Amino acid sequence: MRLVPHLRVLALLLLVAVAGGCANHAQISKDMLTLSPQSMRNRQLQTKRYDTNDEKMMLTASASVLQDLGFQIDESTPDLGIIVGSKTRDATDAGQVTMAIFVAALGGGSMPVDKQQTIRVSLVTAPMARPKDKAAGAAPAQKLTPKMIDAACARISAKLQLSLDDELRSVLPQAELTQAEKALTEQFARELNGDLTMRMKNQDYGATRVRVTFQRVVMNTQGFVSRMEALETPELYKEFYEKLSKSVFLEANDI
Amino acid sequence: MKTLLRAILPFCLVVVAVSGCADPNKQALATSTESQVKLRTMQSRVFDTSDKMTTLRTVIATLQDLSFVIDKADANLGTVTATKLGGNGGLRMTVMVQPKGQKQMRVRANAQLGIQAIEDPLPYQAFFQSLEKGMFLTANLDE
Repeated sequence: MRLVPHLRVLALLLLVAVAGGCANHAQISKDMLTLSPQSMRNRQLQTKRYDTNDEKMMLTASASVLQDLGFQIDESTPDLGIIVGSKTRDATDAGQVTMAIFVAALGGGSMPVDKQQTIRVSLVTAPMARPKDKAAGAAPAQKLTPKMIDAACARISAKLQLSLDDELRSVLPQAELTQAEKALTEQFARELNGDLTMRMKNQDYGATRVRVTFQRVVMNTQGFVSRMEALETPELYKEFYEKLSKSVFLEANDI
Repeated sequence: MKTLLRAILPFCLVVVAVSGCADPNKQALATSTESQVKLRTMQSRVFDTSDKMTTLRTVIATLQDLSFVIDKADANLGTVTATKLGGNGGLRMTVMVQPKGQKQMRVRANAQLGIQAIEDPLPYQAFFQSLEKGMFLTANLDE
């Protein structure tokens, strides 16, 4: 019967362990769901603004960059501007392998080393609304395009030619009439085209922001996850956005 | 004999409680230790906006601010699922945005840390506090 008090203590300890585990669990998850002081710095690191309101084009350009980097696209939701991709690569670290051989040579048995890693990426685009757009309501203002300018010039030239024809037919011979019509309409169309093009170039096309996050999961030779981490090196993001800027240019010029 | 029984009883209770976790049927269907209504209440918040897409986008931005990586999202259903690595095998979270009446959106989140569901109100409070910040920024700033 010496066992009885021990059992009681053991049961009590187990209960404490179970209850303690729960409290810890809640605390960890609470900490993970609270904005950290670095969150702003990370946001800046991972976000870039592009001067275009063409979110679909940004998504296409981004998907192309991910493909350039060897990612497979796992998910995409264009309505919410999301692309998720992943790639699996070698994660063998020379230092680790040397260490494992060293341990084995000393009779320490086989030590697991990192074997492969899955790198995951999620990319989110979002339109950056300007206050004046919001005030105007949901319908976005129609933007001037080169096509519109050409159409306007063509229409006004035709109209002008007709009215000049009407006015001057009675006072000018045919050859001079044609000459005058041509000179006047061409000059007018050129001026109108110049004015409208200037307006088009000055108009604000809005902006789209792109935010990308990378993480990796490393598996060791025994098939266990040895490391899970977010990749937060500034160089990584800088390089990614350099590639994306190039891709946007290629996309815009249809190359 | 009685003392032995009394000593063993709590031990048995622990064993039963622990083994209960492993029952697959119970795992799949029995919602949780909390009541369904209580769980929904602590996992939900209502926001004064009629714009489902903007709310969804704000949820996504908030998750990214919290260092989550988005796994998938569905605009029609209004769901976003994301994972944050670290801390006992990662935190996985699904957030759903549904219209509530004409002028409001209900945002519901459920999360698991490692292999355990989060059923404590505090983590959800922390999440919704972060989301409220995001909603405020979306509504008031050039974001």
